[in-house]
Amino acid sequence: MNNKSEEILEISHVTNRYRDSGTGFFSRSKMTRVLNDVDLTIHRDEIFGLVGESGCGKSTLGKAVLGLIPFDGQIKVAGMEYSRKNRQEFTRCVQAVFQDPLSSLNPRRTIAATLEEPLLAHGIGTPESRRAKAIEMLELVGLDGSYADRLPRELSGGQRQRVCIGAALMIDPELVIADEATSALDVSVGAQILNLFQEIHDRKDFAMLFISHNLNVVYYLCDRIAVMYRGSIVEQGDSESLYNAPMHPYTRTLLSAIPEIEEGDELSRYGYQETRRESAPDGCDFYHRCPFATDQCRQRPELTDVLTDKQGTEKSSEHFVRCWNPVR
Amino acid sequence: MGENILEVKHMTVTLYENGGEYKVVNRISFTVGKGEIVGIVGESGCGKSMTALALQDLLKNHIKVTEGSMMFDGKDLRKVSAAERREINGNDMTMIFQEPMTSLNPLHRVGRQVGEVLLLHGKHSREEIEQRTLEALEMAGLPDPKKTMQMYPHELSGGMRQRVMIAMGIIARPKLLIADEPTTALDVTTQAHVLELLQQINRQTGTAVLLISHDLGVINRICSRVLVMYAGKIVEQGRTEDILRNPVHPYTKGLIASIPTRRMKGAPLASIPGRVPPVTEEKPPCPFASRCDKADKRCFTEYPGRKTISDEHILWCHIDETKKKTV
Repeated sequence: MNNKSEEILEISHVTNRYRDSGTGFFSRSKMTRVLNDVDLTIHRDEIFGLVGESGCGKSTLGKAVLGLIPFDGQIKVAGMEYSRKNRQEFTRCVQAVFQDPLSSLNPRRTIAATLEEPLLAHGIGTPESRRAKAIEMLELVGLDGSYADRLPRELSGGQRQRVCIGAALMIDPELVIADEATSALDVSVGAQILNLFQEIHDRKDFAMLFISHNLNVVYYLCDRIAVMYRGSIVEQGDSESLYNAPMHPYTRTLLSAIPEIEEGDELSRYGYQETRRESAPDGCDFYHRCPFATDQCRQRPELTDVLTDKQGTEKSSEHFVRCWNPVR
Repeated sequence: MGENILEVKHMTVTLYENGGEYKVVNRISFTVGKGEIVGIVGESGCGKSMTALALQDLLKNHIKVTEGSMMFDGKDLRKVSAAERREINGNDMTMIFQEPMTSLNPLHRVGRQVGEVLLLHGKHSREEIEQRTLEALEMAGLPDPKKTMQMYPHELSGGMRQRVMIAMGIIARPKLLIADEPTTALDVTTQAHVLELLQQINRQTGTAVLLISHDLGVINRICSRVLVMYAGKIVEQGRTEDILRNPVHPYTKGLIASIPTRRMKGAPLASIPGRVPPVTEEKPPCPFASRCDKADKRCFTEYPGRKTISDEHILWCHIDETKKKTV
């Protein structure tokens, strides 16, 4: 059962569009692509980070995995595809933690009731055993039984987020999607939550898709990272090689832009620079901002293995980049 | 002196709520030199925004400055008349806010909003105002100022809106620009541009900047000095490098250690236990005492005095670790 290479999440050729009605009353509507042919695999027991700036489609991908929005392509969680018929079974496998814990919790429901809800929905256990499990979960997430009968408003932001994490783990899902789970919290509290993720992940068996805009946080927590830009994955690799030897110009821009507190803030880590030119509609998504763009970049590059130059994300390799001239 | 554009001394801001009085900002003192960029860092509820609002006289009715003085350019802001204060605000001392969308009027064109300050102060002709607006927008790094002037806020992206806010902030050529979390709502690459812009404006015009942020990385990028605030008090202040490399106060240390950085990979982050106490809670003399692992009896009974560690590095804490090392 604990086969590490087993795929918990398989995303293949996922595309999502929405109709953009245009700015004027009579202007013609057009389709805007939010996700553009995304492929991604997450293995058992892995923490996978998805980074990108606002509007890049990272949360849309999270929603697609949860079965909350329609999409083209295929998404399998633990070998199962979402459909209306297997909803019950599907939601047992995948759970989510969102950014704002207060709006994710029902203000009129006690913490214990919130935690018991997933068990109740799936018809697991008796009232006593559910209560016992809720209290056990509270302890796992660093709270204790005394919180069981409180209401969300009596808790601080960090404690609420702990409850949300607990609720997500109540039915022992295979996959947890954490969408900006620490972004709304203060630095010191965010650190507590990051520690908690790490701790729980060590003790429990689940894979995680950790979505964030903060590359430092993602590097800290995750085994592998994918960088998303305008709905496409532009670079993917294990965290060490992606963070320490980024190859896509966008990843480098992103890394240089993060203000650091360590020695000599590295605004110049990769010589932060940006160019502006007309974008190429069928070309590389980063064409209009890329300092290294050539004519070749007017065609869309494929995600390519940096070692073998093979296209597509074969399981064997570690680092992929969607760029004609990756920086080596 | 005369070198400082702003000197705040023992300023206290009190919140009156539900019949109670709570000190949101508790006797803080600091200075901002002419042409200097100073940062205030702290977590939510530490009083950093209240400090900014107090300086701009923008506090709500139930929050008041109850103690201390705020000397701006030689005038005590608490003593000047309302008319004088209006003259200073928006002219010599301006402010930009976190959320550019809610700070801009959606019904007015950008040009009119940016030039409004000059119009209100009534000393400029229309042509002059238009010229200055164009200059300000250009300085704020908007690609096509003429076109931008005619646009409405909703036609601009988040980064451009923040640039418009900055243009509003600098059009009157202020001596001090207060920026309250100016980049928090922006993406990292946009944030990098905006920070660069603030630095550039500071260099070109000599405008002093008081930058308020929760992110020490942002502070490190452009500020020469930083004040660390916790629960209404300044707990440590000094040159940015000193604070980041050799923090002395347990809170500053904890704050720095809880930021995930490259070196922290694999190790648990040193988070600070507990949480920031709400303003309505009764706090011990040292506000950090209840979360501090080094706190002893003194921290709960007497106010920690001001200690000078080096030139500009000042600390408010009973626990003196530098002394222990030398003994």
